Amino acid sequence: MRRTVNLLVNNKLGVLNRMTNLFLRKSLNIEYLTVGPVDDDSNVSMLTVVINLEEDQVMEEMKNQLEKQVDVISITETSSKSLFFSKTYEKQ
Amino acid sequence: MITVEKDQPVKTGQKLSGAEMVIESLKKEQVDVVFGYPGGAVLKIYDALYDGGIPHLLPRHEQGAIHAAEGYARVTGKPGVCIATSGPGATNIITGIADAMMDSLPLVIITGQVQSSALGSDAFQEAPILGVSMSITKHNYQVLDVNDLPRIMKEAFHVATTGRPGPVLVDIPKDVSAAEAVFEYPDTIDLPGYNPAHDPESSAIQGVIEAIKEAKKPVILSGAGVIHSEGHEELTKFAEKTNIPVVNTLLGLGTMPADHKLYLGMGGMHGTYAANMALYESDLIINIGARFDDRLTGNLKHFAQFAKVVHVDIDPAEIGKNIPTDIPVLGDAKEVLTQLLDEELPEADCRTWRRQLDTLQNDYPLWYHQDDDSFKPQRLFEIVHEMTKGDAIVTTDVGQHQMWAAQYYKFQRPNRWVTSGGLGTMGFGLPAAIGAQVGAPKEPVVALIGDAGFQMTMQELAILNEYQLPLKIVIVNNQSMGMVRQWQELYYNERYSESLIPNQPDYVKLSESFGIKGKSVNCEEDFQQVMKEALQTDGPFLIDCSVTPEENVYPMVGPGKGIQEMVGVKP
Ligand SMILES: Cc1ncc(C[n+]2csc(CCOP(=O)(O)OP(=O)(O)O)c2C)c(N)n1
Ligand SMILES: [Mg+2]
Repeated sequence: MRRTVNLLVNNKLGVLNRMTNLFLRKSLNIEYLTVGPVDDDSNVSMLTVVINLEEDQVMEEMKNQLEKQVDVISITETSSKSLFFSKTYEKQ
Repeated sequence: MITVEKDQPVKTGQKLSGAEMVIESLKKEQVDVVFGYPGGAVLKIYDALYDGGIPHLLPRHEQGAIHAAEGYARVTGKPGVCIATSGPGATNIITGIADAMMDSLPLVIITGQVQSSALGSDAFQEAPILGVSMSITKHNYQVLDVNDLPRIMKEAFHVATTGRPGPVLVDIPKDVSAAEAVFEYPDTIDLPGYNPAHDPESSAIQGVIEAIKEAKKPVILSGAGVIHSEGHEELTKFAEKTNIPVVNTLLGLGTMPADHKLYLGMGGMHGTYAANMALYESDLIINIGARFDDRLTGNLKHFAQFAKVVHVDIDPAEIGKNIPTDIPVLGDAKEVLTQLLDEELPEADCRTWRRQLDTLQNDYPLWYHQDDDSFKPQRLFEIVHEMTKGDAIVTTDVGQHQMWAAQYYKFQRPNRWVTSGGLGTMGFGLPAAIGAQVGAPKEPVVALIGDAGFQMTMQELAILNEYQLPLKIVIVNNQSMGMVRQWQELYYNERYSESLIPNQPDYVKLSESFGIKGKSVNCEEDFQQVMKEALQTDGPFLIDCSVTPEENVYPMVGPGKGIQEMVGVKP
């Protein structure tokens, strides 16, 4: 199942690395990723990660580990179908 | 011994170099002592240290410095501070960082870094420590502007010591420690993404109480979270009020006095049979501050099969990670226990259960054969316990001797047991004992260390006299990597591949070369006598104690087995 994780993170050096490291630890391949500041002079970025993962339990663990990070302000998860860009993604 | 000048004036509002800011920040955080090793990238910091204010210990390898900082944190509950230079200095502390992360020890680690303009150029002694340590720190920083330094130091201490403690690394390029700015140490923290405190929900507290009322076979599992939160007294009260027996994890030893009538011993791979059967058969496991580590649970398929699970943890990521939880209680162990004690606590209806467990305890005590005139290692641990009246600070390395220490040393209180649990780091025992002794200068510290592990960090003998650290070191010498040998005996057809070490140094001469009294013994009578001499000696003392090499640690949950499938439960 494709899952989308949206993370509101501090727009700081190395934050993307911190996040992707956690996916690596759980052996989760990132299929799609975008990152950018939420507005022009913002020090907060939105990070969107799409992974292919069946087990709810693993997703739960992943979110808990992400949530724990000092640089993560909030986190939401949706199934990818509800997101506009996922259409483009799934066509490929 | 190291003395600390209290109430150091702090140079707030003055223009300082980054290096001076580091030192002033440490003073602001009331740091007693730092463990570190100099080098090019931290010369500025060492220069600032030269003016005094903060005592510094110089272990002879950076790994020694960081394990010492861990030992210090473990016995004092305060953050351990470690300094290393860039490149090799920084990579030498990696093991200790991972160790502290696993065992939730608060550390603040300062590493030097090459000039910021040279970052990423493979400059001399450059290692990308920020990236390297990212996954094994609770958080880490690289300071690129000296103006950020006070805030980052403040945050580092805050993050390391709050919530679930852990190591925080601050990497400081050379030019940043040289640059100057006005030093203002912030009073407040602004970390919107970091919310370490959790108030236990009252519905969860009520849930625990209801569960106790229904339970027929309840058991409490207490771990290191109880120690970190200083909730040991509340734990004992809670157990007594509810009449529920207690199992400790390896790192939870000392949370309950070992001679308490409700205490069942350590659980897990080399736990007591009674403790493991209690966990296995239980219909209510109340886990307080433990993380259901695999060495405790054994095969997850069998663990808590019949039990409702309560899990009290300060770290939400631990709840449900390994074991499905029926009643999650998010919060600090002491806080949760206090709230429980404020309630009308029921006494669990478990007379039959208690009787059953008492019988197991009586029928399956720890055992070993005391048949011939050889000196059994288990006996050594019993003697150490007796001679120190169960009240020494005990550090270990990793292996068989570590498990025997956990089994036979009956801790009466917390913060006396210093061992590497999650990472299982050989080489931990001696430097951790140094840090423990620094943290508790008046207390007896006994380092019980395997012959193989001792050889990993034995250079730290060099500093015992220098800093007047009166450690008593016992090398539990079985001429082998005993724990590896045991597994090869049991699971690899006795093919002892690279685990026997008949060629050993002369440890007595070795210690004498460092000006430390040393004796070697190989029988119980001699050990008794020399251990007594050691304990009466003011300075450090090393005993090389030969024990039966073939001895195995029992009882044991074999690999892949459930905790109820212990072998070696009886002679
Ligand atoms: C750094 C490190 N390397 C390897 C191991 C694997 N290991 C675990 S126990 C052990 C043997 C330890 O031997 P010794 O220190 O003599 O203790 P004993 O088991 O004999 O009491 C080894 C090699 C480890 N835990 N740590
Ligand atoms: Mg050995």
